[in-house]
Amino acid sequence: MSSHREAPEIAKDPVADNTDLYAFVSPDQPDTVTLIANFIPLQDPAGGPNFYEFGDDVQYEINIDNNGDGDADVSYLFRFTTTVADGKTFLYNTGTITSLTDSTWNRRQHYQVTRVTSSGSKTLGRDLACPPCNVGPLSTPNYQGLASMAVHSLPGGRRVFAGQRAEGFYVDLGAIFDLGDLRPFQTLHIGPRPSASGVNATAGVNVHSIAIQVPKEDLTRGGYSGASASDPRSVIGVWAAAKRQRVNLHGDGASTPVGPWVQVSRLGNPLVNEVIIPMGEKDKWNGQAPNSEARYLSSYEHPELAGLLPVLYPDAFPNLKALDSKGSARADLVAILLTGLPAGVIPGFQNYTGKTQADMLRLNLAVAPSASPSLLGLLGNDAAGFPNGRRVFDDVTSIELRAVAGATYALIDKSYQPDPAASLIYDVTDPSKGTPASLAAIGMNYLDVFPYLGTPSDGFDTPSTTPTSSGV
Amino acid sequence: MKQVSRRTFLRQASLGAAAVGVATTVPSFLRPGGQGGAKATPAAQLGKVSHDGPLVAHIDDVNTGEITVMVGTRQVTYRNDEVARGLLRATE
Repeated sequence: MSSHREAPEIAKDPVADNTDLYAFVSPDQPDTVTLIANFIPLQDPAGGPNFYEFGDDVQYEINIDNNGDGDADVSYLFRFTTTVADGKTFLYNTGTITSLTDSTWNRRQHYQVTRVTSSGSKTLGRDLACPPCNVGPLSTPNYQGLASMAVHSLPGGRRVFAGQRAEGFYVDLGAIFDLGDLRPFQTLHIGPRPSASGVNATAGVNVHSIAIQVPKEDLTRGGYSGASASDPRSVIGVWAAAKRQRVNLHGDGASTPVGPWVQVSRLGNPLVNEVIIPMGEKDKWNGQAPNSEARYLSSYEHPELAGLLPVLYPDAFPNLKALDSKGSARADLVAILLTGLPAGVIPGFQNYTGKTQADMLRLNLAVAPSASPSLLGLLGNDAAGFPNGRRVFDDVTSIELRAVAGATYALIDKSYQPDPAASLIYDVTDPSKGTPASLAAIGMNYLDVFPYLGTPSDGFDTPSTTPTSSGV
Repeated sequence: MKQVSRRTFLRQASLGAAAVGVATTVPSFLRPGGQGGAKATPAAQLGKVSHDGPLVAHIDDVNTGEITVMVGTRQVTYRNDEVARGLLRATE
């Protein structure tokens, strides 16, 4: 998955598991940037009566580096508080929920948002209501209305939302983890399989999102407006994190956290901890700062997957095999994931943050939103998409598969000829033929407005099991 | 003889075992009349404390004498060999 259950320890702690991070210039508010961090992966919409919620004992963070050192210059911190109206019922809701203040909603969450800079911290909002989970048509008949009520305006032209959303990331989990069964080369696999359409494993599952939309000046060095794409001040690095207190005392049906905040989850670029970082390092990686990435440099320069593709598809990647056999360091991947692309590599574009290697989602916020976005982002000649930030619909799996397969190596070595297969490989659906709207065919629905991730699937219409036949 | 069902026997047996467990695991100096030596200091003599939540002391290696004390979201580490060893003895 993008970063869902990507490391052994955090896989046991879904409330703190940061699954996806998005950063993009808001298409309908282009003077703002939207940042979204998702948590609590693979939610079965019918998972009551204890429906999904943020952790009161977790500190959620979205961090921004605006001077290239990989340290946070601006942080947005989110802390949640759960309240139960009636502890004598087992029910999440005792009737239809039509507003965020209905007494029929038994268990609800509110949160506080704090902005932290070197100048100090400022609370942007407190007692902000989350929406309920999407239980079903009897409990939450107008879910879109409830979600709209949970979009809160904050001082300074900011907006925030925290609550359940439809999963935005799509992937054929069953195929990709079955020895890399990828399209359109299934017949060329070392264990050939018949060609078949992809199955989106995240269709119908939900996630919890923290989304904040802020003016560009809120993020940039010196409050720069982002007027010029060539100006270094237009590039920001973004990562999200979740922290828990060092100790948790369990007993008497409750737990009491004690001690300083310790980072347990981190996410910048998608799929890094999932695919680049080896199993034995994943948990440690989650606890480190993004600018401590130099210790993992060899995993970026010589990614395991680049060596596997020619083995799994013996005839499809001869040039990649030769590149890998020579032991060539993948400077293209290091640039894309750890420093950003400097000016001159792709005409008219840069998202370079300097020499400091740090896993951050880099966004040149001077690049205007695309009127006809490509799911392949920068690989599809759409500079408004990944790896220039990341939009909710970008096919990051296919983009990174193609990059690892050698499609981007020619950016740093003009003599290298990528295998034709590197520009064809994909996971669920062919991104070169798709649009954000066409992803509805694989169960992905997005919004045109904040918070952009779609309405979560409801528990009644998205049962977790196959219905039994009549009379059983 | 009073009939003992399998269920009541198990309940009585487990309660008895629990009582034995308590008696054998509580450090002697914590038990009334135990041989721990140190007398409890009256709370009034310790001075007032203002923190309501728990305090956790963590010792990674007793031999170093380093004690990390956590209160709220704060943490301090200091060294006191005697306290570190005393805490270990309390668990014996």
